[in-house]
Amino acid sequence: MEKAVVNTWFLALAFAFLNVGNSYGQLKTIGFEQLDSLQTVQKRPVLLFFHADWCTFCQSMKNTTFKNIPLSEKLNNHFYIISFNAEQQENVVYKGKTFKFKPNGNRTGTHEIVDLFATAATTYPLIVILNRENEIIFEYSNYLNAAEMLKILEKLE
Amino acid sequence: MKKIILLFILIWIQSGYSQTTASVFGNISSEGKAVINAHVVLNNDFKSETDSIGNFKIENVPVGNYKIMVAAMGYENIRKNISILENVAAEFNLELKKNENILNEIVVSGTLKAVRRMESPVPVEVYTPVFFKKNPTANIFDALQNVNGVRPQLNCGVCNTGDIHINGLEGPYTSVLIDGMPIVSSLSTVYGLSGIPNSLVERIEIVKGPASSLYGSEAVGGLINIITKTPKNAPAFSADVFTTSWLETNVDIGMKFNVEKKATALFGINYFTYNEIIDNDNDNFTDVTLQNRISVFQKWNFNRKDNRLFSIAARGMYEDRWGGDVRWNKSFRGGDQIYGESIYTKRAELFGNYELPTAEKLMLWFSGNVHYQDSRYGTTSYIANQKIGFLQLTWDKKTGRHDLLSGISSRYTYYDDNTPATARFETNNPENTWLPGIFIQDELTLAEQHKLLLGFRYDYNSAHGNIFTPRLAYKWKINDNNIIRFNTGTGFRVVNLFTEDHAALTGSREVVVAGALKPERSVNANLNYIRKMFASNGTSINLETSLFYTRFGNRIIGNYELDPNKIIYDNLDGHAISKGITANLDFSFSNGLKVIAGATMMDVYSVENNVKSRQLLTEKFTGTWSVSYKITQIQLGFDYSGNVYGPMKLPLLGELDPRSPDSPWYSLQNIQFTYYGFKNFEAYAGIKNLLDFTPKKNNPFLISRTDDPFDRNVEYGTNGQVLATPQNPYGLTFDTTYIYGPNQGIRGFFGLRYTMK
Repeated sequence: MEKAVVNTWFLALAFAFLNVGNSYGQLKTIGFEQLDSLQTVQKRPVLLFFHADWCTFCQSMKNTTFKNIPLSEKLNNHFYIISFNAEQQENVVYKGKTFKFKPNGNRTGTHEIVDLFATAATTYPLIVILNRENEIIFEYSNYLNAAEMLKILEKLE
Repeated sequence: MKKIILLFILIWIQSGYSQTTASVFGNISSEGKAVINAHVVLNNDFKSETDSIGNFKIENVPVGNYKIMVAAMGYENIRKNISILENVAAEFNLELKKNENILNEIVVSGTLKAVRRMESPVPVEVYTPVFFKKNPTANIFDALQNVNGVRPQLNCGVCNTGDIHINGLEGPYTSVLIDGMPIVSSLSTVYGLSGIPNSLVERIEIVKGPASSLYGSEAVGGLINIITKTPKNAPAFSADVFTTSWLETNVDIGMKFNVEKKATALFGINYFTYNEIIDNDNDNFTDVTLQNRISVFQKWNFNRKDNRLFSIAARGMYEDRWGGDVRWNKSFRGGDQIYGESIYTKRAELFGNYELPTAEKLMLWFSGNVHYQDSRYGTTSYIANQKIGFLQLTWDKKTGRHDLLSGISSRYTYYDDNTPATARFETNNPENTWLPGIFIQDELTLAEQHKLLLGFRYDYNSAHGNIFTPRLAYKWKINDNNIIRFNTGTGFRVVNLFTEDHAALTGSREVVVAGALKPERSVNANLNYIRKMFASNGTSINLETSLFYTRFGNRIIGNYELDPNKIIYDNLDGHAISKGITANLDFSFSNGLKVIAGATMMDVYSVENNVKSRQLLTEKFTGTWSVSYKITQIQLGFDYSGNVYGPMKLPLLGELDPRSPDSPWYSLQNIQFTYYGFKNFEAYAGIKNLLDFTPKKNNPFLISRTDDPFDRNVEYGTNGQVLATPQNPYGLTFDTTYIYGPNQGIRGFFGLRYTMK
């Protein structure tokens, strides 16, 4: 009985392996460092996507919403897209200022740059849209599917 | 995957004053294809973009020397010096090189360690307060019953104390951390989870299996890391009050403060009270322990230069609990008239992390706690005092593919009680134990998808000598959605029966320790697989499954069966095994329906003289599930959660004991409705234990001989065995160890949450 369960477990594992799919998103993202210079070349609205490793809905959005072809085409052609891990520990330089990870415990905390764009409490996923002048025109903390996001982008235009 | 577009323009104009102009045009291509939307820049004043066939044109450019720069998303930039001559149209056809690895360019070198949790070779599970709200419980301890493979175990039928078992391993093997800062105490799973209101908790991370060498030689069972909210996210004030139809009332209050710009603080109070004498099983004993408990929690974060960490957390707790004969009151405490078990506990903890102001990342860890317990179990008294101090200095260093962590630590434990355990030659002789240690750990990135963690720790225990703790973890990230991990290590535990093994604290039995106990040693291995699946309609499925195995040497086991009046503790002369399989499935549908289901099958037994015996009070199968759905139109949430437990072997008192030797399959199920429609308020109500299961079912009684708790009418034979007499037909003594599940039937609850941002 026990053996059978263990065997089934390994079998299931092997089966899961066979199913491993490799799909990559088509979204072209940039870093905060590049935003300023890109804006001087061509002004575009900006979509900021703040996520965290432990946030399952963020992972879900990355794998569903942002893989939607009409949405990613629209974003790629008309927006600058920044996808940012809100708990990353590397420094970020933006508008000449260095932003750092701000710890509130051992290896836990939030990156300072999130506070620049999140006006209210931050829950993830956090979606922020800036207009061409880098002003916040939209802020939303929830799962959005591709259709909803397309609608929002259309309304904002 | 991240693809990055890069543009960078720099133009230096070196031309003089010239009134004559020319036009600049050309074509930008890459690998024979036109590059559209490429930016061509001459000076900041002259810009153009390529059209759909890659052509660009800039007119009226003054004659002179320029730098031309071409940049396009996904390509490397081109910079060239050019000269514009009078009346000569300048044609530039440029070829761009594709940039496959632009990611590298944006990584700004930082001194901080950039390990992300998901990158860690040790598997981490994450639960948010929303998860724990599905079945409101008075504290995180009870809430953990909702997590697969984690079980709060009640160790005492009358006094209702318990600890947390992860994959079958006892509480002391699990470390409790708050924001990554450890509470260094083997009692941390018993008391370390109280006093922090849900409103201040961002999430709880659970590591099953051996974790980093950082957390000492005991941390082989796992870690529970409570991550509190950042000051920005924490509500200014929050309150959560609920009560059940048994009048178990719980109050949680959370607050935050900002002290100028220097510090931020979180403050939490938890008060739990239950003062009803309820005896639904008609044994003249309280069904559930009556208690008053207050915990106060504070956490301070100081703002320092360069965002260096300085955090301190403190907690104080006072608890007064009693259970026993329904006629009991405090005047009977410790007496032999009416039986009662009464425990007063006082506990204080202070712990934190301080990052030294040095270029290297040096971190000082400190933790201290005092624990005072005054208990009476019938006429038996147990008064104990424990103090623990802990200091650790760690050094983080990342070089190339190596991520090194090393440190030195020291731990001091003082323990004193009123029993012979701490007396020597008739005088009291408290225990003083020093535990200095040193460790080093390397997290090695073998390849992008492969990570290896090797750790080694050496501690010297002033009572038991050398302790070596090796650790190994391996992570294979097949891709973002398929991850395999393997981790293994050894554990070492010095057991202090009285404070840590609450089973010993039942006044009905005498605790006998056979000889000097040797420290328990264990070897543990976990194999874990995580698979995430996403459907295009927004449904996501998370599968997590593990295989775990632990082998114990010198296992300290309490023998309940040799003598019904005693628990005899001894090192097992053989070995003990705890092994099993666990799987957890998490479905999130895009319409808001969420289903979580988990199951664990395990086998826990000991082998002595080639005889295998199953561990008492441990089930072979557990299942947990929860279903939640929110109807947005009417602002109503619905949660249904439950557990199912397989049979456990139970401690009987003799051949004639009429109670069932095994527990039945049983299930505890709860439903809850939450209304979100009020401003700042949430109201919730529901039913706990829908199926009205109590362990009394199928049994004539749970606690034996409650009518004679002082064993006055028990007659003994010549060998000390209990005789069956007309007054004692089953030949039993008073005993409370049979409890295998919560002795509370169906009950309703109602609560209100208030949040002020």
